[in-house]
Amino acid sequence: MRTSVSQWSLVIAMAGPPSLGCLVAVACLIFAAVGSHPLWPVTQMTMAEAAALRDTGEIARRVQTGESPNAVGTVRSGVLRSEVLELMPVEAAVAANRPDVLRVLIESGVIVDPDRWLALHCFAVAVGAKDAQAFLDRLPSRSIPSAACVDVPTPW
Amino acid sequence: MSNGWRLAARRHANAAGIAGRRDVRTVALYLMQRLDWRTAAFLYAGIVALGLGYALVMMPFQVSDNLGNMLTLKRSTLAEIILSQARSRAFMRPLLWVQLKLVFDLADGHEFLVFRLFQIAQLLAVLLLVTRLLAVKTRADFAAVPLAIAMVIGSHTFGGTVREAYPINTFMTVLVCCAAVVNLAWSAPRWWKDGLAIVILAYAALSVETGLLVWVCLVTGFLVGLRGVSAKGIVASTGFLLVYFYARFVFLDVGGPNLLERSTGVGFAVLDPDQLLDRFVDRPFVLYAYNIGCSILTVLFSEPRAGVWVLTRAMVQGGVHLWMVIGAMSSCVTTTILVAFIARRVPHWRSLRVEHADRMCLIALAILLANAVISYPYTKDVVMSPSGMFYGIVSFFAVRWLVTITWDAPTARRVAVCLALAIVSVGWTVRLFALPYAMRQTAFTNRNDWASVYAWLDDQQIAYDAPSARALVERLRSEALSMQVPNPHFLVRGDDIFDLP
Repeated sequence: MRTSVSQWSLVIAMAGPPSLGCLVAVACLIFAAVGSHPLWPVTQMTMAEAAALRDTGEIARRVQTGESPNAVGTVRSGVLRSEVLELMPVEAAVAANRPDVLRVLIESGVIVDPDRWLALHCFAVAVGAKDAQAFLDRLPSRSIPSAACVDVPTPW
Repeated sequence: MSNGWRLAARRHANAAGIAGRRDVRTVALYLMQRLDWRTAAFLYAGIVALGLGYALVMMPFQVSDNLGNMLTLKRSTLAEIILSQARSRAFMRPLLWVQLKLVFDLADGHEFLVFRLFQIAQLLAVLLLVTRLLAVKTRADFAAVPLAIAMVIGSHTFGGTVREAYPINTFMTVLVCCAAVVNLAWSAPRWWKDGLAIVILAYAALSVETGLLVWVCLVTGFLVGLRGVSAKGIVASTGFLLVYFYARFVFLDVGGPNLLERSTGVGFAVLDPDQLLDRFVDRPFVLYAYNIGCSILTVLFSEPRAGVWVLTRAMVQGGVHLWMVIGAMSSCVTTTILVAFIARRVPHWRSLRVEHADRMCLIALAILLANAVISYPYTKDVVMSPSGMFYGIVSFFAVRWLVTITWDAPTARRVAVCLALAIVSVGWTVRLFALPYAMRQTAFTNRNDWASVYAWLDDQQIAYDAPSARALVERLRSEALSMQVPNPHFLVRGDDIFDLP
């Protein structure tokens, strides 16, 4: 006896959606066998972008491969602002208000001397990064800020 | 496979064999004529397990619970570990540490690879053992297998068995053991199966407290008519259980967890041990009863979650996410179908006419109650994973029954059932995909944790001064950092659809 449309609908309703699980698994395994990972897409980024995006693992990986945590890098549009920026990783971390990233950067060799501390502090004030500001205030190299950070240049 | 396919495949294969051909089509047709629905179900489960295994291999080790354990394994001998377990309080898990030590020593510098392979092997074992319990024979049975696998993996109780590792996930160990003994009981009796059942029980019970559920599986299986493990085996298992309790509560005086052990959810919030003490010190049984009730409800309705009424809170206070609705709806409809199925079968149970599906239901009910009782001190979704696994198994039988009785029903009823099945299958499919999605998020978090692992070790006051310990930490850190992990910023956001940890 032929199966009616509504009978097929029962089968498809039950089995159709979850079968996608197997199809996706097969696709992943086939792609993985040829070295491709479409469901595990890794986007190449600069260390400054990694700092802005809370990717301390990427920061530590790059430092491990010899990259300097002090180098200025590009931050693509849409990450911090709508325009492309050129920032140091510590500046990106302050802009993103990430004290955890600041700590990893300092542990990775970023030197925060009094001049740099002042610049970062004023930048944190300018962008309203209160958590980053609190972290910077606890650093030994903190200096007395100028009255309104007026003469201190910041990225924006 | 259908007879038409088999005949065609055999004709082609014979012709090709005579001609000496070994091309892909010939081989495929040769395999097809030998493939039955049961084997197809195993293949399906195996593929899904390997797909999850792929995500596991791409995910760095977690730091917490994992690194501390590995440093202990590095500096301690097996004898020292067993002795320290004998002196522990609240938890008695000597075989967990024995297996950790054995696998760690076997790994010999390749800890990530070996422990992940172990985890993948456990995952494969669970899904294959579950598939065997589905007793797939026909095309109709096979059609329900994808949904069954989705219900096992997509359950919020299952996720923790895959996402976390210490570095062996003991909850996954319990799933393997429970599924193994039920399979053992549902097989022809052999003299060695009794001994194997006791070994599995001992292995599970001495690895984690929920391993005692293996005894519940054995006894309930026997009571419902499974005779793969004989009465002598059941008596011996019970004897082991009594020895276990004597050793734990009398001889070693390990005791059990109390209010101060863990945080747990109550009402709309998670309470820490001090808050629990304030609120329940004079009436701990109220908390215990609450935890048992919540544990049962979370398996059946996906609400509450770890004792917190997440969806209810969101409906009252605002902030309902789609994943909450998907979880609750898929579970509610599935449980409704299950209850209807059980209601139809109860008269058969009363007249002792039980079939395989009935036996699985009764075992699942026993496990649900026992699992909930074991969860009395605190609620945690992953602790209910054995119940979640059996819920998936019996829901398979309920859904298959529903399709069977609706197959020749009037069209209007078929359409209604079709809608119900669509809710169930789409809901569970979304929940299935939530697991690899969550594993991607977890991979990002885990790798970040390795970036500041030394600060974490100092905070936790875990010693790593010895050169071998430092070398271990540095090697694991270097391996984790070198793994390619997606940054969530560049991924399609699914936080509203997928239930993330």
